[in-house]
Amino acid sequence: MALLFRLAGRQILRSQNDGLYKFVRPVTLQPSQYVEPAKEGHDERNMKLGRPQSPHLTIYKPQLTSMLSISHRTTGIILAGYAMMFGAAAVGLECPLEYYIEQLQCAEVGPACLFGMKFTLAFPLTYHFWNGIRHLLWDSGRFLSIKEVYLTGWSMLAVAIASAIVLSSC
Amino acid sequence: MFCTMQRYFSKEPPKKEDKKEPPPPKPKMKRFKIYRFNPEGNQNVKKHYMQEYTVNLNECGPMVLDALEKIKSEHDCTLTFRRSCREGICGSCGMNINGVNSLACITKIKTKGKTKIYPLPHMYVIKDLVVDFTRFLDQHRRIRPYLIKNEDKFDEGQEYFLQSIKDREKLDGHIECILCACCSTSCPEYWWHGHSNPPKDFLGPAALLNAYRYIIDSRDSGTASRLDQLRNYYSVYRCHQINNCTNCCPKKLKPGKAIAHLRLFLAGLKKKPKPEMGGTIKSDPEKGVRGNDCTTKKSKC
Repeated sequence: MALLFRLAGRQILRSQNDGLYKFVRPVTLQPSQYVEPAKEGHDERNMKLGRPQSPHLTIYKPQLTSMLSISHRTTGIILAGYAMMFGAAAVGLECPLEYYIEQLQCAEVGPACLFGMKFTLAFPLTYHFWNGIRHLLWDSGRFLSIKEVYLTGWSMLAVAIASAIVLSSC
Repeated sequence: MFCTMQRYFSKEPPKKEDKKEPPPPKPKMKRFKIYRFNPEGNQNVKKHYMQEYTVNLNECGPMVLDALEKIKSEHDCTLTFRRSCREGICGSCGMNINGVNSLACITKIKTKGKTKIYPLPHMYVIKDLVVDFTRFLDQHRRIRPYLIKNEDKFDEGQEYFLQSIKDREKLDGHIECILCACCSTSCPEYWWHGHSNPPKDFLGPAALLNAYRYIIDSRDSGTASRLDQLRNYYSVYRCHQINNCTNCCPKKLKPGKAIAHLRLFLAGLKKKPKPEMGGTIKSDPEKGVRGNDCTTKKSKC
């Protein structure tokens, strides 16, 4: 039976050599110029696919490493603010700054309040100073194992607070 | 001897202890809050959300990956994450667990409280905990993570570069990187500057650690070109020594230190020492003996 069919099929193909082959194989291959696929940036591609950005700053655990770094930057900004503030005050105010300091001393606001004001002025300075030294040490390629980073971090904080207290109590 | 024989042949049944079986331990239920995102969802629902699962820790392995596997097999088979070796060597299962990047397979489950699991921070999410590594791997490709040799006469596949034991030891602590991207995605500077225009972007701790590894390799002779490639505003200098990378590295490597030393190299304060050994050796000792006339002469002598 199979032989019969095979023979019959072969016969059909042979007899209609032009017709059937053309019918089952209508593909013609033509050479064409290579078109480079459009280059797509990483961000564009992902945005097109509607992929969300995974959460970052809001979910990452605040650790000593990152917290000391961000506060170094903050104290830097605060110090710049102080410098600009006092500079502008020296230019804009009618009397020299010493006059206002004397006024403040005469106002008798209490030692605790005075200490607090001095501390807010002194702490950014001491913190930025001591952490800056820590960064200088890092730049020389030392104290960069995680144990040393934590050790220098805590001791820097202690020294910064202590020196700020000393500065603001005298 | 006799004693053991006696014990062996005596057919006394072991004494039965009339103790009750200990009561089954109380189920230790632990809640996991996991980031979910389904790219194939309905356009209106195509949003990420947090889903909570409760797992009995008594029936679960000690690691976070075990819990994820359990959730996937018993609670929700649609939960998607990468995993492979389950022993911290493949670097597939990097994710943010309780706010810190780590490998799920080597992070123990904390018994107290809720454990929050997010994908690696500031990456595009493909699905659930799977993120797009394209840019990260492209940055690794750009630092040319292979030996560059100036000399042309080298029989590839047939020869080894010689390196002294001392020079090889310098590479310890740099070659163990498994590219899990935990360090790079923990770095705030990489979040903000990692995606600027490709030749001028912050490469991130992982790529820079690998760059440093090839710069200090005594067999590599492309140091100058490697350093020149990094000499721009972004590649290295966006690092502000936050040290989140060193803090979270699952292999306990120090990318922060590598970057600091890279800067010393770039500033010219550190120079690459001369290699203790140079040249090559035949990779097949048999062939080396046969092909080399000197050795045959020596053996004749």
